[in-house]
Amino acid sequence: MTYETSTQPLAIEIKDLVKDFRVYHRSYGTLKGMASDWFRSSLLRQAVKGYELRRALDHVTLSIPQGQTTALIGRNGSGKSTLLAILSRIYLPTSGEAVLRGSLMSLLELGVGFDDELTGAENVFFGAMVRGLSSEEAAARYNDIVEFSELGQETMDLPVRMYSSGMKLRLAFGIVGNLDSNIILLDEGLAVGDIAFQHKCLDRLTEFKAQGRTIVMVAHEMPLVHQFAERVIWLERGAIKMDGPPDVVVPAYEAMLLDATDAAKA
Amino acid sequence: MNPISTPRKSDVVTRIAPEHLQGFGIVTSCRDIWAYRSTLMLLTRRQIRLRYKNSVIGLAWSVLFPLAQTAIMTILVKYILGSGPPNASAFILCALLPWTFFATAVLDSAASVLGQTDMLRKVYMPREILPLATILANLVHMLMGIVVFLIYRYGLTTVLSSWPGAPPVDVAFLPLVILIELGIVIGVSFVVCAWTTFYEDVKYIAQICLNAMYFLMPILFFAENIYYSERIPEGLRKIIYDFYLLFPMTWVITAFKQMFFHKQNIAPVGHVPILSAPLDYRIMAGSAVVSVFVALGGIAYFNKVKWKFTERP
Repeated sequence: MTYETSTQPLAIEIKDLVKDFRVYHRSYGTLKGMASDWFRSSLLRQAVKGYELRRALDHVTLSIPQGQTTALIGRNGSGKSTLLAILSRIYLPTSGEAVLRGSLMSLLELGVGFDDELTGAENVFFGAMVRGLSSEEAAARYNDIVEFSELGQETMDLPVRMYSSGMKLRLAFGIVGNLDSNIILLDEGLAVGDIAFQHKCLDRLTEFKAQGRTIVMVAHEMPLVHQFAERVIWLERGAIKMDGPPDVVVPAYEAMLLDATDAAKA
Repeated sequence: MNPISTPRKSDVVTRIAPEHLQGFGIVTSCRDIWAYRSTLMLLTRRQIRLRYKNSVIGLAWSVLFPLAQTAIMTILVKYILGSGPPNASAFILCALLPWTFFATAVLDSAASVLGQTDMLRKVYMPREILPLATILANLVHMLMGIVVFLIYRYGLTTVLSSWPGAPPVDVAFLPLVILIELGIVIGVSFVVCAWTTFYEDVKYIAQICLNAMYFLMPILFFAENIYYSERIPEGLRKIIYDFYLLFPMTWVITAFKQMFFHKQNIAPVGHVPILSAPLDYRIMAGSAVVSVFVALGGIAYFNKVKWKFTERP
């Protein structure tokens, strides 16, 4: 089932993407494990790999036009985070291809990649430069970032290792919310901040939408999906189960969740 | 609400496919390193600053450390073993600088990726820049040491032991010799770094190897000592000497001494004087070639395994 809402040029084009992870046996990497693997392979002539393959993405093909806001839903382990991580070049895909048109910004697992030893201010520069900004461009945005994160200059001069997880999220979203990337990937980042800050982030997301940026977000709260997404992609076991507007996909997904809960109770 | 930046019209196209991200080996690596050169410089500055983060005299340690080591080894060589030539301390400091660069760069970069896997799981950067920043930071420490050595060699020793003040012509090769060493350090560090990321045992094995090399490299003695050794049969001396200099780091350390001490007496005090060999340009050309191959080999191997860093169990 495919679903296109727009004739805009494509921002993200994913073709036949496959990702296999190696799930290592418990003894992997220990001397004992190596010795027993060697014993079984060379003396007993058994095939020993030391790991199993787990398919996290199973031939995903997907196009996202520019300016579309897409929500990825699905149960834990369905491949949502893996998909965003591959688009962010964290993992190498096993096969297939993805093409991104435009600069990319991603917020994965609570953080934009902070160096704990550097201060908040230095991390702003590092975070901006690692995303392709020059130090002048980073300096030009610095005040906006501090203001958005509401951390204050004294906090910005402390090393990030002294920050609480809420403060880290504020700084991370301050950076994400003030860069000018065309494509934004969000992996369930908003749950940690307080309500006021969540609202601020959601307002910023709304502005991003209005500017015509492409947003792909992993979402677990269905009201959020209804509020933001024009398109919902339901992943199950690494494959696209359903792809369509929120009022079609979300009810189907919730019905499946109910069935699964009932089955667990029975 | 503060004003919000408008998205840049960007025509960047990022292709994510196994053959594209990894396929061209060294070319891919070098292209990515160049694209992220400003991040590399930032990380290098971070390394230099963080090393002495909570110390009072800070960067001065990178000068004091080799000086203290030189003092200890001079006492050992000169007064306990009695095997040191006149001005032994100058020779030892001269050899220690390239050696310390090699040893600390390899050991530091071994942990460079392992310490940053959390960051690599959140934002893309070429994995190569992590060990590279560590290597460059250590290179800066060596350059500072060289400045101190130059003051020592052409200031103090000229006054104290009336050595010729003018440096020999061969000193002009110093940048080339440093580049040769940099190539070797990159090659070795990249391999050790990749292995350590998968098996932390490698760091300890590397430590043992570096300990062994410390005594086998011509730091406390001279490569020429082999050539003149009476305990080696005469027919073998030249062969063993040449073979010894084939190891790139052995040659680099020897070259450092030969550049700064042109034809100086290196026999222990009270023995028949023997002169250090002049800088051999043929071995230098050979070492340059070896250095390029070691560097490219290390980068190619690193490129082959670097995508598994974020997937390590």
